[in-house]
Amino acid sequence: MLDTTITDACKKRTAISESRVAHSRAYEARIRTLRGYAAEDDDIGKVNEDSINYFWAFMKVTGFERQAGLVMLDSGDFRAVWRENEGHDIGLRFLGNQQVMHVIFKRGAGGQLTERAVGTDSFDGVIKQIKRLGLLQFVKE
Amino acid sequence: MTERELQDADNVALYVKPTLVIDAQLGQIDGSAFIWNGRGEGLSVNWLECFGNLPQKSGNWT
Repeated sequence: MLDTTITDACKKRTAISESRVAHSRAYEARIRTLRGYAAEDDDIGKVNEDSINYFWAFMKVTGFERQAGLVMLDSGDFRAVWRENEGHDIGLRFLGNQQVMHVIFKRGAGGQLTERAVGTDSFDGVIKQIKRLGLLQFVKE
Repeated sequence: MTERELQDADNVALYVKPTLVIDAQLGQIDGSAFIWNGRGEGLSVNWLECFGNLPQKSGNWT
């Protein structure tokens, strides 16, 4: 019984680990693509390297399992977005100065907006907001 | 140019650059695409009906 439990726990841990590696590779590929677009786009200023570094640090600290969409703003900042159709919406813009600009929409079962949070905060502050809204599971899945 | 009224049924399209596309297959784009960057007189959009007949089906134009 104990062996089975340990084996299951190990399998789950391995699956999470593999998922993280796959996501990391997807993020790396997306960042490369965005850099390519930025090089050809006069509207985009210099790519904010601090923003990328802060994004990686955030993902390492939080261990969010759900893969985010990644976009680059004209300022050169990166923005991670977790979104589901008719569902919750979390957008985090990594400013690169230890600050994250966040826009979080929490929706009910029918898709109606029930709560939202907008502002600029530290890692901890943003995670607290996500927890306060009960959306940690949404990004951990 | 003579002013014409935009009808509710008409279509206005905004070009969204690839850096702001979250998921092309799901048609998800970042909301910042709708924020004016301060250049020009406002957001640049295309009023499709202004160009005449619209294609009957959407698809890639070559």
